Amino acid sequence: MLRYRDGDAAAFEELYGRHRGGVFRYVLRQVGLRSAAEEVFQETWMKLISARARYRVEARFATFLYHVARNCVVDYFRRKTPLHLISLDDDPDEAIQVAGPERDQPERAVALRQSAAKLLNALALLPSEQREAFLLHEEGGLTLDEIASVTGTGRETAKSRLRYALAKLREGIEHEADVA
Amino acid sequence: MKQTSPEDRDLEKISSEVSERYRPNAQDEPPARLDAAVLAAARREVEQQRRRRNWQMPASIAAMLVIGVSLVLIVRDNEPPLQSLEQPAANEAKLAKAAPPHLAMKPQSKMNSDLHRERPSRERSARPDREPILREEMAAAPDSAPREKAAAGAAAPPVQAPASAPVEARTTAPVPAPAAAPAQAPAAPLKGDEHEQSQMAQSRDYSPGKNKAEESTVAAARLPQSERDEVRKQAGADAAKPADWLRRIDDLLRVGDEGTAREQLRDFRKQFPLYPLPQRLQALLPPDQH
Repeated sequence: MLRYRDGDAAAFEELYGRHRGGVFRYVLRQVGLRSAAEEVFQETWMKLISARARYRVEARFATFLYHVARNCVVDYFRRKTPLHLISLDDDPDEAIQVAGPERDQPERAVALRQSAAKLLNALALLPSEQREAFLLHEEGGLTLDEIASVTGTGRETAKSRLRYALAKLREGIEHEADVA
Repeated sequence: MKQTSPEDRDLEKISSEVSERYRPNAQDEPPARLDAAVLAAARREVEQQRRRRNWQMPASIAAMLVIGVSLVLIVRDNEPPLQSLEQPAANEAKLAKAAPPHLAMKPQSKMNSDLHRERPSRERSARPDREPILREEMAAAPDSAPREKAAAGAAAPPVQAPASAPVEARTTAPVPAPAAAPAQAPAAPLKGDEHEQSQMAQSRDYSPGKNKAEESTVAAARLPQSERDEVRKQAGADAAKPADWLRRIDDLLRVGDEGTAREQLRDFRKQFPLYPLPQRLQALLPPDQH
């Protein structure tokens, strides 16, 4: 980011390539809709680009990036009316796309994909704070301290949220398996 | 993740288990058009930054130059005109006391040439009355007589004329000064050394006859070459030999030119403040300068 701040466009491409997937999935799992996720994702990077002149190394870049992404997600939910969780204009198939099209996957991984889809369903049912803690940990690779920093809470709170999230997700997977 | 306690290890275990199930979902990626849009925006921003830098640098240099030149001009215009000239002259007096006779004049003449080089033409034209006197005095005189009298000197009565005229005329004051400072009759015939005078005027970088001070300087320059050399020699000697200088002041008194003698004595006192004066000359100075 420092190289990009000093005018090295190639450095940004490298940075973008490293974090684009994680940030996109973080946003997608948070907002739930692909079109909205794309909008928030683009907004995140645009903010990062425009803030590059003010960038100072105070923490790991990932912490900074996910902080920006989280703010964009919060802004997105603020812009949305509380009851407008799923717009009528949204493609109803989009929510299914979140789990990823199974036809693109190798056959031997179908079972695993089904399990992953169940995990995503469980993730969608989590309270937003717990889901956020899990996604920051899983997609951003943030530590408990970094999660606490991004979410503006203490380390213990972040740890507690993550623990609850993991427990519920595991429970959700096992429950789905039992039902099946 | 910093995990040391058993609780943290347990958390790590559950985390890795869930991660394994979650990983197949990590194939959701942003569409290519979004990638292109973000990268294009990033490149655009860098180019804009470069463009800003391209004009900012020359613009800031130009602004600094303008401010710097303005400041220099302002400082020069507000600079007290004589203080800067008097100060080196005072230092010169100290040097004259300490230095051997053959070195006594060197720093002053060097300063003189530096002053001419540094003074802008605008200022030169603004103070035409001081410049010729400065050149003549700084080149030849050991004293630091007040330069303010230069302008008034041209209009002063014949007795005062030697004091305001260049030092060549002043040092030969007893006899040639009244005749050689014809400030009131500049149009007199120029005799044989007219050609010499015009050559000197050219070499001094100004045209004579524009004001009275210049005229008096030109009049002094009308002295024959041999006489001018003699005067310069004597003036140089004055700086090194206070006794000779005092003798010349005494001569002035004898011929009745008390005004010039008094002024010479004042200059002498400035250069040699501790040199003992004869009783007769002490009477010319105020008591605190004895």
